[in-house]
Amino acid sequence: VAFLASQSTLTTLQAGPFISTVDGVTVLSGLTIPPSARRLSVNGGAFVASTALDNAVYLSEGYYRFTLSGADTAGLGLLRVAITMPGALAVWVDVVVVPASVAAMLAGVPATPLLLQQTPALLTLGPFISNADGVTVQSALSIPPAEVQLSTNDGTFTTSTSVAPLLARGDGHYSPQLTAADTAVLGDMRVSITLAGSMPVWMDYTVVDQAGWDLYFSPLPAVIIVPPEPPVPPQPSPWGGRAASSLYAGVSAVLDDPQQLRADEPLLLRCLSQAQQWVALRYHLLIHSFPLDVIAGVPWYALPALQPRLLMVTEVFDASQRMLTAVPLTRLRYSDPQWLARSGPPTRFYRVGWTHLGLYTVPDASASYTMTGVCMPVRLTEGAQLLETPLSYDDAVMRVAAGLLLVGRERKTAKGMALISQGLALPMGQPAEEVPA
Amino acid sequence: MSMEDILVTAQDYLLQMGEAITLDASVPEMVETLARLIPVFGQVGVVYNIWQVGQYIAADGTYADLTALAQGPGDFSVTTTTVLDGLLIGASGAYDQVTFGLTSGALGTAPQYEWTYWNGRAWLPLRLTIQPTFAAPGVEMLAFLPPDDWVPDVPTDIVWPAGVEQTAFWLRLRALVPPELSPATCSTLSLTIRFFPLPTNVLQLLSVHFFPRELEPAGVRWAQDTLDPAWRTRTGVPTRYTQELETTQRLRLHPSPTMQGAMGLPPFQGIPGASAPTNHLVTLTLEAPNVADLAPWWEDLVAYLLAAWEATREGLRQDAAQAQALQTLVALLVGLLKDLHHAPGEELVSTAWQMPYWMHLPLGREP
Repeated sequence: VAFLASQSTLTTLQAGPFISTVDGVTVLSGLTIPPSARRLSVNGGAFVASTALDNAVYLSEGYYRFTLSGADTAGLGLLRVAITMPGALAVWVDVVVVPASVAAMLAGVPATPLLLQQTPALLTLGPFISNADGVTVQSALSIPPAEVQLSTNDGTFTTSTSVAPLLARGDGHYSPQLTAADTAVLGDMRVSITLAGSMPVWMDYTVVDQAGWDLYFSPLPAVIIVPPEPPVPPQPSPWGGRAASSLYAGVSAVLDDPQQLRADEPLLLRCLSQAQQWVALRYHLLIHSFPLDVIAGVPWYALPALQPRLLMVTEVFDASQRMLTAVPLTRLRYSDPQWLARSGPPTRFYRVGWTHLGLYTVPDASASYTMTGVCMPVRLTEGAQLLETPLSYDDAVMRVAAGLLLVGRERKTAKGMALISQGLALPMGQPAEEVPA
Repeated sequence: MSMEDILVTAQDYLLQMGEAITLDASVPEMVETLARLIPVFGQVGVVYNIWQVGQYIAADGTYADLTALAQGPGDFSVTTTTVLDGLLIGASGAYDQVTFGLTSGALGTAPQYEWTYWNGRAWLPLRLTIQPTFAAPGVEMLAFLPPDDWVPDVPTDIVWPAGVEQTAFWLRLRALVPPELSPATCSTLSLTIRFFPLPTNVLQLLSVHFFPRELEPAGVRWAQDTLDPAWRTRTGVPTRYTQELETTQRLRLHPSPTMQGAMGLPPFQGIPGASAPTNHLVTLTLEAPNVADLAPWWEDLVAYLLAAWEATREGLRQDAAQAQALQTLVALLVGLLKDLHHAPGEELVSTAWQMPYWMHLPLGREP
């Protein structure tokens, strides 16, 4: 049994009883237990000192109250708190750290250390104590993996399939590395290690499936997309724009079972934003022109600072609307080795990557030019924000967004990637230019 | 746009289970991976070398700057009459030759000198080919083979005054047996700096200019070494440049220019970021950009890469299918961007696409 604690939250616990190592009977009431003596191991990691500020406070019956700081409980999962004080038998407490929403929901109930089914896991077992005196903490053992015995659902003990030696974690603790095969069966699992010369050590876990795991560690936010009715067609605004929120229902409708779509609005907006970007990129939907203030003597212009949405310049026109010829900068040297020094009215332009635009010859006078290029839509951050892609591409945007949600949120990668593939009209794994338009 | 946006998007694809510290630290590496996959982040730079010299006082380990005297009017002493005193010479690029214009020789019985270089940890002996004696007035030269482990660094045993660029390729001269009566004096000092350092995020050089002329790119082994085995020692007005040792961290000009800093190249105007009069190398490069400079759509690609990389890491949340899906998604989007590269009007710089990681995503490596 372990205690439940809220992630990144100051948590008060008690540990004990602290018993004298001299007779194994006398309760110790006068110990000073500083934070540095409270050693923490998260999910089988090495022990570190608590970052709390206060010494533990004696209660009675040999028990002491202490706090875990917000930093102590920052990591989700199983936290072992080991307290080894001189003159006292070893004391430890196990804590299951869960998100705040889960802690609020399960407040007060004891928790069981959990393992995810068919997933490797690193445990923290201990302390190992000499059976000669029942006191000495053994921190220098070499424990082979064959010593790790597992009993699932009260069945016969079998040896772990792991071949990795146990990692010494300090304070008499060691970390077995269970394999996916070890955690294949749902239910209770006892992990036991019985060494010659040591007191037996065991710990009980519960193996849960993904849904059970997510219940504790990945609680999903409130469902906002559960449309019982068919999708509502987008409401056209007077100028033909559509708010991003007008596609929410359509995204869920793209899925076979919209009841399963669980996403809050920020996540949905991020996926819609990405979907709009990739659809715009796929079909080169956004091509805009921008002014370019050319300065005499300045050959290059950094584009991200001038036009953040501009992905790549395709055309440049001078002040007289004459088009400049695009040339590779690596070929300018063949026509003019001093092309960076040559001054005059520009007739050509070149790119330095996609982020800088250069003019040849170097402008000899300041003027207002025009550049045209492929743009990307702005990031969607509000549902009321207007989409930039044309209405006729909404279906593609919704498919890609639904695909991204399935990949990210639902882990249905095959179906998600299939939707993305449909939305972009591209077979997966095939370069874009090899696909017929 | 920010690192935070990248992490938020990456966490979307990791069910919020990514380790924040690891993800945060891995973003620059992902940006570089993306920049190699899609080498379109251009940059224009002005590259130049500077050097400095100072008197080294062994007793207290101090550096007293003499650069103004060495590069302008006035004389300075090469050593003192105290044992182990000498000079410290540092430059931004690696050099292999130092020329002394001596106005007087050292007076004393058989002075002995020691030349060492700083390798990042200690002063080690320099392999000299020509060593100055400082015995008489005139021009004397120090020539040596630049050591492989010579690095730009700050020697930790020196007490530095304010205003000195401490990170440099440093040489140290010490008088093991100092001149008894008076040290040699020097009026001019010059360094033959063979290499120009480049910013560490440069991935590929597109064009290099020794104003007003663009330099030709040249290979080393099958070009320069074949045409002129002694090309590394040539000095004059540069016509070519090389990237040696397959690194983009430095470039070498052929022939090497003999002057650096405020001298050497005619000025030109209008180069953004250059102070006038400018007299340095101008480089056009492809780079791995700073995270803060990424536009949102690039950030999302970085986030996909990051989530795929995190999903492949060993641990409780290992999810090969998720990693594979995200890798496929990145490959598809890279294909779309590559397709855009062939849009009408785009220059077809074939070498820009022949990056080491073009054909596959390096996501299978160990964290």
